Amino acid sequence: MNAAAREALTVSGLTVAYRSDAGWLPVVEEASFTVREGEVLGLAGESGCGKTTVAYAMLGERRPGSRVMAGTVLLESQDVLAMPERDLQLLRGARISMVPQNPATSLTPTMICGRQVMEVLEYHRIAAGTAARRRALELLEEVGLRDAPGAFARYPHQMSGGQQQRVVIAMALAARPRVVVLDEPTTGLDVTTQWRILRLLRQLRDRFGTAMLYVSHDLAALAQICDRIAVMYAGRIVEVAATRVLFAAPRHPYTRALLAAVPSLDRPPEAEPALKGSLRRDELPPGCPFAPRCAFALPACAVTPQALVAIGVGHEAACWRWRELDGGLRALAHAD
Amino acid sequence: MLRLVVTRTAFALVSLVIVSALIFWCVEWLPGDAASRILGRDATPEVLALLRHKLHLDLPGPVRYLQWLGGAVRGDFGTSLAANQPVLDYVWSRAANTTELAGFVLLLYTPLSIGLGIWTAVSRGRAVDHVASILVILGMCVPEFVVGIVLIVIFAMTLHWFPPLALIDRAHSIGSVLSMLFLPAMTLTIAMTAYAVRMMRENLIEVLDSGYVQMARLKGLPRWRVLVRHALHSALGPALNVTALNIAWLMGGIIVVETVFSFPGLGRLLIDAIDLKDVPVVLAVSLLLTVVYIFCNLLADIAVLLLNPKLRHAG
Repeated sequence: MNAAAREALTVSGLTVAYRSDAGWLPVVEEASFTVREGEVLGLAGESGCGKTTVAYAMLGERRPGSRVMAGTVLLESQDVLAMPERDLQLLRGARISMVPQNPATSLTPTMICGRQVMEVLEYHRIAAGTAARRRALELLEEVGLRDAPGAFARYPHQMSGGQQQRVVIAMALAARPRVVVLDEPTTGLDVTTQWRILRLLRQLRDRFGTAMLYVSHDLAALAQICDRIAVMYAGRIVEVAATRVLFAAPRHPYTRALLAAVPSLDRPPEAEPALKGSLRRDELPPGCPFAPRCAFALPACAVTPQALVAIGVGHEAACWRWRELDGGLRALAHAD
Repeated sequence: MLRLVVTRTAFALVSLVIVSALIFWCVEWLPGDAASRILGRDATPEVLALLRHKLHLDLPGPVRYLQWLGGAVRGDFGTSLAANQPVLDYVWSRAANTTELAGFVLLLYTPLSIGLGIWTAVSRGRAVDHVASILVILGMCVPEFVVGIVLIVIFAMTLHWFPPLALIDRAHSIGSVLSMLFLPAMTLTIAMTAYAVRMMRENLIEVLDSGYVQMARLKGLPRWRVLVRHALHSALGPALNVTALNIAWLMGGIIVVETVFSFPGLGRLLIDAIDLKDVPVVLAVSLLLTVVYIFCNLLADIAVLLLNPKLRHAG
């Protein structure tokens, strides 16, 4: 991707907290990233790391019980987080749209699919009446639904999961938004359908230059579609790099562990899982959040806060020991 | 859909026969008979025997039931033992009064329960919602005769806004009919609305939390559009089922409320007829109430079917 391309979405210092018995508990801390025009940025991490909260915050949507404590989300130099409800309404679906995780629950069960696509066109004053109907049919064709008129008249429950997700994507793209946020869009689908949806998304990106924020825990899916990937752990972005670089030379111990956890035919299933334990929000140390599970952690890691630092061209990581670990691991790799 | 209507109708006919037999025997088991009730305590045995023979009460129970059933099948529901009038004439005039009352109740009930249901669901957790919840629980647990008496004390005795008795047979203008109907209708509406608001609120909250409502909002649709086209549609189905149950309850509630307000309707007629052991009238009124109940349930099921495309296409 051309590094000089303009930024479509710029997030800085995003901090979101959830209400808990012990007060406001931060779930996303100081998240900063940009998505350029026509670029697909992946947001990877385990469940509970805050990636879905980030995804919804891009549309100014606060999940129940949550509050944005700090930060800005700039879309065309306007801060989404500071917008009144009225402006958000004009923005959502028109300039930034969402493809949620579960297509079966994202479509209204009592409305035919075509109407749900038409609604976007009508309320954003793109087309009305028969023009909207025609446009909706074109959109359904565009997302690869073979029988577009049939799909138009069908209720969501009369479709397969893959077809439903295509309808949701048609809705998301109806107003030709600059940015589409996708939250685990292929997670509930079978592998071949996943692959087809990913191919469709790539085609749509190439055709319309839509910037995408693709949130997923599935590294294989991310590898297929993303230009760059940001890795999140416990609400913090711990590494950002171009996809190729991230897979070839991960620097943060968490990224390494995550990649090692991907099942592979080249590698016998190891007795020990690459990633020990699980993410415990209530046991985060004041320093590096990954320290309790990190195979390379020193006592000092738990008390020394880590920030993203540039470690290469377009490559950032939040580990103060990345350099020494790199050397050590390379030596290990050669010893194999 | 057609299959549903046909099977339900067949089922209804069987139910009606069973209900009529049950009610016939229940009334039979009550001590005394119509002749002794009509003539009172001082009647001589000869006069009693004569009246019994005239009313065919000297025939054995099963024979009388089958005679009645034979007539009912042909649309002849017999003659009132006490009033010596064809039962149907007698019942229809009262049924018309009760229909007015029930119609008025539904007129108040429908907008109130939908409106309050939406309002409490949308403002959940806020003061409005808490106040409404308390009122709903009050409405559900205070018996309707207490509500009726409280309303009479406040609006009739103290404020003099409405008459305490609903003697609508003596009303001479639409205005006075409406003002007489208001308090009994309110009494019934309060209890019915309480259940419906609760149901509506819970369904709507569940729907408002669903993925598709969120998606509709994230598409940039205005709030009213999300509420009306995406949320309400799905939340109305269960509320309709509650309404069908409510109408069943209304059948019983009407008997109590008509007594409290001296309303000349089916409920009062039923109570008076039971008192006189006027079996043909009791049977006719109970069967009419049963038919209304079965019909309302069928209507609710059809409406739910029409609202839910998943069920519609499955049928």
